[in-house]
Formats: sequence, C-alpha cells, structure tokens
Amino acid sequence: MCLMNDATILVAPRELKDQVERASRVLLCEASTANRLAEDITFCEINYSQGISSWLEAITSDSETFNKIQRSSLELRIPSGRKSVDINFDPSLSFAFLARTLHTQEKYGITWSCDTEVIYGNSKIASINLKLDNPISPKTNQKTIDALSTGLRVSLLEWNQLDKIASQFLLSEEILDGS
Amino acid sequence: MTINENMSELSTLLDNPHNVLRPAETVMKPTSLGSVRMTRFSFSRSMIRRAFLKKWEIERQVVNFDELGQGHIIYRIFAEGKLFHFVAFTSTIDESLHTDRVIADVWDVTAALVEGEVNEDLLQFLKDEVPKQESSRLDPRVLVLTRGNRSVRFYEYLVERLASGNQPESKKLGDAGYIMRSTAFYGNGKFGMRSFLGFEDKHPLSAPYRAQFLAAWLFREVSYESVEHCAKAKNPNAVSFNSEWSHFFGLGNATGLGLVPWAIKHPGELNAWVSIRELALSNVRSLKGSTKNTQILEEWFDKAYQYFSSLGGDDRWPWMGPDSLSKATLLIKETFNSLSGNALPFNDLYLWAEKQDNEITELVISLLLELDDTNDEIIDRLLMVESEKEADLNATVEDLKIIIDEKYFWLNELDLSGPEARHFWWVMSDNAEEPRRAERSVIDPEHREIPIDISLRIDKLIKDLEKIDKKISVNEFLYSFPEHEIAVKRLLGNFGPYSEPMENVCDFKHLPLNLQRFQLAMYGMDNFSPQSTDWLRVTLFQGAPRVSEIGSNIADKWILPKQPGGLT
Repeated sequence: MCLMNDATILVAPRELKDQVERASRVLLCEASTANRLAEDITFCEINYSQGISSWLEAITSDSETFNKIQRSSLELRIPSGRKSVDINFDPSLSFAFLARTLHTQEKYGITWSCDTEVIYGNSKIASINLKLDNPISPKTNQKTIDALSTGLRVSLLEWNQLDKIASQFLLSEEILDGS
Repeated sequence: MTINENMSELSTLLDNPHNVLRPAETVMKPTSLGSVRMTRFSFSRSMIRRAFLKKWEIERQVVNFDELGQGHIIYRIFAEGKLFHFVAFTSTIDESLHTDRVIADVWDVTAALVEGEVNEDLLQFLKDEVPKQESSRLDPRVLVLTRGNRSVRFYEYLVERLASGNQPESKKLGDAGYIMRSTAFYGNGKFGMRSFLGFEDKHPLSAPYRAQFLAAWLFREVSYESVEHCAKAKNPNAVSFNSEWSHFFGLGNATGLGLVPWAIKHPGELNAWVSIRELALSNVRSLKGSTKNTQILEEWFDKAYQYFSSLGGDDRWPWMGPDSLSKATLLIKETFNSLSGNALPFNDLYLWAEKQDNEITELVISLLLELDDTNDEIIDRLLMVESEKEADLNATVEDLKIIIDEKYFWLNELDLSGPEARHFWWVMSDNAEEPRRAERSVIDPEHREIPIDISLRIDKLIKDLEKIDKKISVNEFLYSFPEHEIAVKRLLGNFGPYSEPMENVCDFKHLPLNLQRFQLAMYGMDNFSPQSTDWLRVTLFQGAPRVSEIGSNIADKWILPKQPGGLT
C-alpha cells in the first residue's frame, strides 16, 4: 500500500473532518459553522474531490466573501408556500460548500440543478434551482464506504497547508500546565 | 442491517411498554453514571465470549526478546475467516520516563493490531512507525495503535520471584492487579488507521471497541510473556506463573480527561450503551424467582464478596473502596435472602437497592444483570449506532420547543446563568492532542474551545427561540442564528432517552470522574482508583482466560477474581 508519495497522502475521513473543523476555528469561525464546514468539505472530498482546495481558496478571499461562503449552505431552502426557488451566489462559490446540503435535501423531496455542470468540488456555482419533488431514498454510498475502509487520497501539499493552520487550534501544554 | 435499522430496532425496544425502564433523570444523573460497574455487556467480556464462541485461533508466532525482554513479539489471530496480527515492540526505558499521562515520547511497549499478513515490508513499516505513536503515519491495514509501560513497582519483583522458583506473594502486591499499564488505545481513523465504520458487515471486529479490546487482551499476553521470558533469561530453571497467578493479572490503565469530550460528542453511542443495560435490567426485574436463578445470583454475591475482601482497602474518594464494598455485598446478600421467596425477588432486590447509596444501587444492578441472557449478536447490533445523523432542518421552531420541554427539562435544575456555569472550558493540548480543561478566568479560550458546552448552548438557544415566530422553519432560524446549529442538531438528532448526561461539563462543580467511570465500566475496567478529580487508574482483564485457553470450557465468569492467597 502506497501511504504517501510526493503528491498525495492517504487520510481517514475523520482526520479530514477534524482538521477542517480545527482550521476553521483558527480562522475565527464559530463552532457550529466550523463543524458544518468540516462536514461539507469531507463530504465533498469523498464524493467530488477538490474539497480541501476549495476550502484553502475560500480562506484567501476577503472577509465579506468568506462570511458569505460560510452561510451559503444555509440559503439552500425553499420558502414556505413555494414549489421552487432560484438561489444566486455573487460571487460564485465552489460546489464544495453546497454539495452535502443539496444531497441531504434530496431525502426530503428537494431536487436541485446548477447553472453549470458540476464535475469537482471546486466547480464554481453562481445559481442553483431547488424544486419540490418526491423524496429520494438514500442510496448506499460506495465512495463513502471505500473512503472509510481504504482511506481517502488527497493532495499532500494541500493537506500540509490545512494541517499547519489546524495545529494552531491546539493550546500549548506549557501554558496549560502553568495556569 | 444498516445502522439506521439498528437504531430503529433500539428505539422500538425502548418504546415497548412491556419494558419497565428507569427514567433518564435517574440513570443519567452524574452520580449515577459515576457509580456504574462492569457487567456482562462490557466490551472486554463480550470480546472474550465471541473469541471463545467462534473459536478464534490465536498463536504466538514470533518471540524475539533479549534477556531484558527487549525486541518484538507477534501474535497471529485467525478469526471467522479473517487474519490479523498483533505486533508489539518492547524496550526498557528509564523509570523516570514512565508516566501515566497520555503524553510521553517513549514507552516500554508499543504495539499495533493489523489486518492481513505481516510480511517483511509491513514489519519494517510498523517498526518505523509504531514506536512513534501520535507522531506516526499509519494506513488502513492498521486497526489499533497502543502503548504502555511495565509496572515500576512490580515487574522486576515478579521476574525475581519466578527466577528464584517462587510464585508472587500476595501481601507484596497489595491491590496491584497488573504487570504492565497501557495509556492509550487509538483506533477509528486516527493517524490514518482504518475507520471503525470501514469494517464490513459480519467482520469479527465490527462491534464497537472489539478491535481495541482484542489488542488489550493481547497486550496482557505480552506482559505475561515478557515477565516469564526475563525470569528464564536469569535462570533457565525459573518457574512460570501457576494457574491462579496466570489468570489474576490484568492490564493496568490510566485514564484522563479525554473520555469527557467523547461522552458529550457521542449521544447516540451513550444512549445505546445505557439502553442495553436498562433493557436487561427491565428483563431481569420481570423474572420470577427460581432455584436456578437464585443460585446463580448467590454465586455472584459470593464472588463479589471474595473479590472485594481479598483486595481490601479504604474508600477511594469519591467512591467506596474494597472494604466498604465487601460489607455492602454482605448486606445485599442478606437482603436478597429475605426477599428470595417473593414472587419477583429480583425486582424487590432492585427496589431495595434504589433506596441505597448510588454505588450500592449500581453494584446490585451489575450483579442482577448476570441473570440476563440476551444474545450477544443482538447486543452487538444494538450498539451499532452513530451520532452524526443528518437533522431534518425543515422542522419548525415550535418542534424545537416541544423537544426542549419534553427532553431537556432538567436544564432548569442547573444554574446556567451564574459565573460558575462557565468556569471551565475544554481544550486540546498540543502534546498528544490530550483534551484538558482550563479556567476561563485564567486562560482566554480565543478560538480553541471544544464545543462540548451542550447545556450552555441549549440554554442560550432557548433564550433566542423566545424571540422568534414559532412557525418558521429551523432552516430559516439558523440562517439568522448560525451559532445555534450544534444545539439544534442535538435536539433534532433524537438520539434517545439516555443520550445526555444531565450536567454542565463547564461548571465549576463538574466532576470528570463520573463520566470517566461510566465509560470505563462499559469498557470492562474495574478496580477504580482516582488519583485526582480528573484522572484515575483502573485494571482490565483481571481474571480473564489466556488466549491459549480458547477452545476450553471456561465460562463467562472470570471477572472479580479473588487474589491468590488473599489479603484478608
């Protein structure tokens, strides 16, 4: 088994989730938001790849854009009394931040379509149409099963960048012992 | 079955009106959780039952020790069609480097449980990585990573005794029931290892913590092998442990604050762990008296009495010690004798016990549960739950309010508004990522707080819900109040009646030992010995059969072993 090479590293999904959550906290996301981003990015990395890269790109954006990105998945709802809605994102954002919520909504009868074809997690989305439909039974997700049993291969460079930020979530043992 | 089907099966059982279950406000009180003892459902016991029932084949494949016990040892495990290896690397470190805390850089033993064959490449990989522990980078072939140290007090003593042709002397050992002490069993995706949910259905290690407890059982084997090897290196005529001593020693363990965040972050698991005990208690309480059941229970009373009285010792704040527990066991036995002619004697014993101190209540429950005969496969299934459920955010604010009224009424009994309620915050240290708690007035949490302040979060949510139209959807509410998502998901997750410890873990008065003890008892640990408010020492597998005994008729009654020779 090739654990690591110059370009990639094999990680467990929970490691990815933990690191995105910690790194998001370091960047001052509130705990609930950090938790949601971590779930979003992990889901995306497993199912579409380019989750970490989308997160790394987002954190380089200006604070207003980053705030919008953090709340983007909370916009994915159909107002009561309506059967469909178009939701626009300006500026456009990576599909990584929307994918998990869109797939979850399918279970509650909300189907979706994007303005552009979604290939990877970093596919840019400017508009999404949500429509009330019949609930879709959750299917066995083979990609998730594979990631859990054999690991998830991600970019080593991106992983190291994420790890570096996430490490700041930890507090020095010396400070703790000295308090 | 899928995890959702398992969770549904558990809910159906909990909702069955024939099951008379104790209310959560009794069971989930911190002092109740902090009095729980090992039962037949504890993971150490269920793992050994499975190994014996399914006739796992475990053999020592390689022993490569020098005269000091340094080198490596490999066990080969063939279980239900799957092959595993437990590979341990042993050394001798300076006594001054021994620490009970999870933080350390070197250990006497580091080990890993792996699935599949161990060829030269994999052995070299393990040799390079396993001793590094938290700094290692592993892969999904590795299921468990562990480490520990020889007992500074007793290891050399035991070697000397065997080398001189003698067995240990009880009085020298005091209450020590182990040769080596572990400080961590990592699994479930840590450091790149296989994720727990990555075990396929019917995998022999797919039950919660089964892989960790197989590793712990084999770690205990290593401790026996190591002492006997070193004794023989000193004197080729050294004796081995006799039958009694070769079962008596378990594996020591020291446990810190990490268990508290785990309990709060896993409401589904907590509910399942408590539920199987409560369902079994309900079953036992409904049993009519019979000669057979009475006899079984009386045997357990005697066993418990002998265990506690041979161990001996004062109370161990905040808990009763062996002397008090042996007296309590006699009282329980006497009480049962006066009730055994009743129509429902086990229920009557329980009803008496619930009026006693929490520790006596839980001691009675642990003994009564020996009468439950629920099939292990059902228990394994009911334990397969998860806490990361997707919540239906189309629910309304009114739905949230109903859940709070029905399930979180106990928050009203906590003082969540005063400064003491937020006295502590939880953090991970940069050394081994060990969870710790810090005083808010001394260290500013900044961005580092682990969000296990669930009681405080729900309390804040309750206040904000008052300002909102009850008909709006949760989704819409969260758009305006995204900081409440953790609390909202907790409510909508509907994890079950026993999912919440009814306390605020940030409170000045919070005692971590309570949640720690509950989990340790579920693991199958005993001999609880608190060292402060925040950590304790325990022993596991004391009295357990040895791996070479698989295939024999050893019953599931190995717990509570009397110390050979006894102390009192």
